[in-house]
Amino acid sequence: MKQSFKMIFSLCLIALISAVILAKVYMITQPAIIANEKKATENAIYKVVNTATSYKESKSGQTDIFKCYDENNKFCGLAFVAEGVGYQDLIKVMVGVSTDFNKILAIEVIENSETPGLGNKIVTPWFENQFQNLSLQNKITVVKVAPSKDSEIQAITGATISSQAVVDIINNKIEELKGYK
Amino acid sequence: MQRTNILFSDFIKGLWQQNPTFRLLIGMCPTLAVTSQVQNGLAMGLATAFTLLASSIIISIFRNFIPREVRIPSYIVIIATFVTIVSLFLKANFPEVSKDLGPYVPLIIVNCLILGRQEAFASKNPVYRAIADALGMGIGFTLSLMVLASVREVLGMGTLLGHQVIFGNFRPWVIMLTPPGAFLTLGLLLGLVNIIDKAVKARKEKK
Repeated sequence: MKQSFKMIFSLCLIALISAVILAKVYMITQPAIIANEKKATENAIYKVVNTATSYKESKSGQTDIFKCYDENNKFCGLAFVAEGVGYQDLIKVMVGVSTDFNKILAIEVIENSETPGLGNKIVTPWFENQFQNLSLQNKITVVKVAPSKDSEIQAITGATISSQAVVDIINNKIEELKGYK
Repeated sequence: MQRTNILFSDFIKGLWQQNPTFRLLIGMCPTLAVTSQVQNGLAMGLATAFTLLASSIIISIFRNFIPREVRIPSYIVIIATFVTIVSLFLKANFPEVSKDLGPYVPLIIVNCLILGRQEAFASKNPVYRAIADALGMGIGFTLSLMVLASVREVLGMGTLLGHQVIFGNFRPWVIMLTPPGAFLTLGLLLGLVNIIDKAVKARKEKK
């Protein structure tokens, strides 16, 4: 009896002390963590809608949409996060589109765990820049040679699945949001 | 004098004779997973070394208070506390590193290197020896990860700590960055360590 009391008491005491310490550390670090996340999102928004100087958050269904305004406070584009399954895990892409959904302004892959050296080349400027000013009149398609139409993207050599995944993720999200004002 | 000698051997054994990665072969999961770049290997090594040091100190101080029957859950709670602190610290100050290491930071909790040292050393020895042991093991682990990561980063990307080190017509060996590359490198390094160790022992015997 005395033995089991001692066991319960010491385990409870250890857990209690741990909880107090962790609560304190959490309180100290939380503001910085939230600030970091906000800054990362903000940087991505300003990168994909590069004329933007301010933005407003709104929602369409489950998706956060960032309405961007330029220095004259004119509505100059929309940014949103599209996510979906890649070759290994979730890929998250920040997409900037023109106000009328006619073309993509730019994209940035913000999260991926694709194969290092192959699939994760989706974060390279060479791949991302292909999406700049891409027409949205038709669905975006992936090709393995140099693109001939203005809605085509050239796949990364050895990483067709990752390239296709990024394009599918963007296509799906745009289909879902089209017509959003 | 006696005491310094013991402390020194407690410390130094983690660097070579009982090196956690190359001799004891424990804590393999983070070793293989995060060593594709030197920066990540270093961050992982330091995070593990800090956790090991902090929990060794606490467990060694309270080694007579913690009942033997509940020692494993107690150790896990103490280790988990320090790992969570490290994880929050990384998220707040080094968001990029924290993103790269992903789930491997919380997984330090179940790294058998840490639990193993508590069970084998910290719970049986006074604080000053536990500190020496934890420092040796922690530094040994960090250095091993960095050696492994250097080989993989140089061959796989032609860079070291992000700086270009191989010029000319070099085509990066992408396989070195993938899991098979990790196994290949580890295997070859283990062989190398064994050869060196044998040579050193043979020389000692001659004398």
